[in-house]
Amino acid sequence: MFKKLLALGAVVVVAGAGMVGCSGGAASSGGDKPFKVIAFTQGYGTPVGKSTTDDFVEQAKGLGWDVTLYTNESYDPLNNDVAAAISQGADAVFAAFPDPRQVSPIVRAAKDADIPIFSVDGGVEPNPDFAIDVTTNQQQIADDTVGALDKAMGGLKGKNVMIIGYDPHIGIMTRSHMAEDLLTAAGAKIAGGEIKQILQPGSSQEDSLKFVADYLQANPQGLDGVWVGFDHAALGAVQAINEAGRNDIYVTGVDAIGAAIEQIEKNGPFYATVVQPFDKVLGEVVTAMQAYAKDGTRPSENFVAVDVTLVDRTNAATTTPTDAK
Amino acid sequence: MPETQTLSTAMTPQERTPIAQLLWQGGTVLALVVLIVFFTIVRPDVFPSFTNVRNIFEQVAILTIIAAAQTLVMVVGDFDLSVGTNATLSGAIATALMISGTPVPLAILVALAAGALVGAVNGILVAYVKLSAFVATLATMTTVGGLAYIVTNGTTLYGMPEEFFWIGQERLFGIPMPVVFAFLIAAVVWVVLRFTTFGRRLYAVGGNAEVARLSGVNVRRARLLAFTFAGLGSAVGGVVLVSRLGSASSASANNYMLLAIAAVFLGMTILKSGQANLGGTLVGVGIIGVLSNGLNILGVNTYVQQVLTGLIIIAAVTLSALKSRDA
Repeated sequence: MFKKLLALGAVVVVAGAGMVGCSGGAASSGGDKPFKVIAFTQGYGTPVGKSTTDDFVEQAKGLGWDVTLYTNESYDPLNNDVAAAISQGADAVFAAFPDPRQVSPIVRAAKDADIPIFSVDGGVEPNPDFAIDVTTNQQQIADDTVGALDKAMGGLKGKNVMIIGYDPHIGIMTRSHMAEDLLTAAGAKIAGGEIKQILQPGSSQEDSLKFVADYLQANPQGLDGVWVGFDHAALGAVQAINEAGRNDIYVTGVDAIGAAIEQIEKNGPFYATVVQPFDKVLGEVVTAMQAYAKDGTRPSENFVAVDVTLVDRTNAATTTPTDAK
Repeated sequence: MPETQTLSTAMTPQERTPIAQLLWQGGTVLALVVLIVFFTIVRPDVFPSFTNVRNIFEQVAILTIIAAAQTLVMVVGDFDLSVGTNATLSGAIATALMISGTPVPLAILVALAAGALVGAVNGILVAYVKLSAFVATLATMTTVGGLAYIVTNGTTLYGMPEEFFWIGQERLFGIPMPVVFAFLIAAVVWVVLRFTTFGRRLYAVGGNAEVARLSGVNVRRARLLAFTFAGLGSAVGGVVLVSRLGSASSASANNYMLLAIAAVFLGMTILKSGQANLGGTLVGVGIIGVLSNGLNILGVNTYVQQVLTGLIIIAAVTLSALKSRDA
């Protein structure tokens, strides 16, 4: 029995030494360490957030980078996880759709580690906390969608337009307030007197349905258009208008998801949406990260706003939905 | 001659005047009546109209179904935090299956089975593994929520066959089908709780599980079945919701959990015993629906609506707690 135990122990020691030797050998024969990226997003639960983040991880791995992705619906644990990961060693941080107002711990950790943060859709103005932030042109989104409503309603002056937004998302907040300014300046009245706020993205379609249905109950002839900050909520507004049997109220959204494009093609209340080319946005960020990974070159400008494309009845049939896979 | 002495007893602090007792007992129902009267006075041309009343019923139909499911669990003295995510997952499963070509009836059956399975898991964890309902259903809520993201791939599923939409978008003699389903589910739950032995067993377990066990009630099985039927009810709510919306997202019904619990708690204040009951739940649903509709008609800010709804729930829970102590 003792000899068997001794033999077993010897096998274990030899095997362990072999594993250590092999791993040591792999490390030494592997050459340079891969470019290590800590990626994070709070928006993994949204179609665009998920697809963009997944695309980045795929591209990064294709480039031979070592990527670790952190996702959480809440910024508190996300900040903790990412800050801890940065302190354990990383070369760069990739932020997908971060809310710049809620990532201070990550920014501090990155500064302490002297590593840059590359961001996709991380705000609506230049932010010194990011080496680069590439986003879409919110002013153009507001201009194009309000312009589409103008066309659909035959003018804006004197028209009653409901605006539905979601202020916790900085992009939606910015463009909805821009749309409010444009509509007000053109002489339109904001239905209800203020922007209607969605409470949770998950229930946005139902919330919008209720807003518009209840508003039409109270004001049957008091609504000409609905400007909505994102397509998922816009679908609810469209449904309320259809159920009320109206064909004289128009809706615009943003994001060009498949369900929205399908509605636009029906020539019903849903009049237009906007493609935010996040594939192009991501491409610019990855290019900037590649330059940094190669020789530490940081981007010359830290804020880029990419142009968007309006999708309406004229081009809906030839537009690829942004959530198509 | 015997002496006659008159004892005078002062009214004890616990005794209430009839008006006070009426308010104490029927406060929740009165609250609903007051809300209806208030909104009718403020907007007499809109609020009490047939189309608006139908609108309110349609808006609370899904909540009614999910709250009825929650009532079953709360009757046995537990609660289920996973009703919302369960409804989301079930709706997502039905949609994903239909989009991939599965016949509509089969897709619905699979979704309902999935919902019942989630409920059964909750029941096993609570009744047999003896985890607290809060912990067990919090865990399943998180797990099921994640599964919903996987099924939908984080996106919005759409493109169901036209024949699926009658469940959520058609009208039967002018009554929206979600309302019809809500009525049916509520009627079934009411009949079961009120007139069946099973219902009485559920109340017995909720009243005192140990006494129920000593009386011969299989407490564990009763709780398991309560959770399973609650899961099934949530799944029905989820399927009706996706048919109503014409799409399924990764979190479409998650919000309903808190509202369902709130509705049941509001309803518990109606009974002297403070027990969950279907009639009270419907009153609770009515309060939530009337408040939401009325405040929207008045153009009240959404955030303010949240505060008001929360305050009403606090008041209801406090009243329920006070009544339980009083009993």
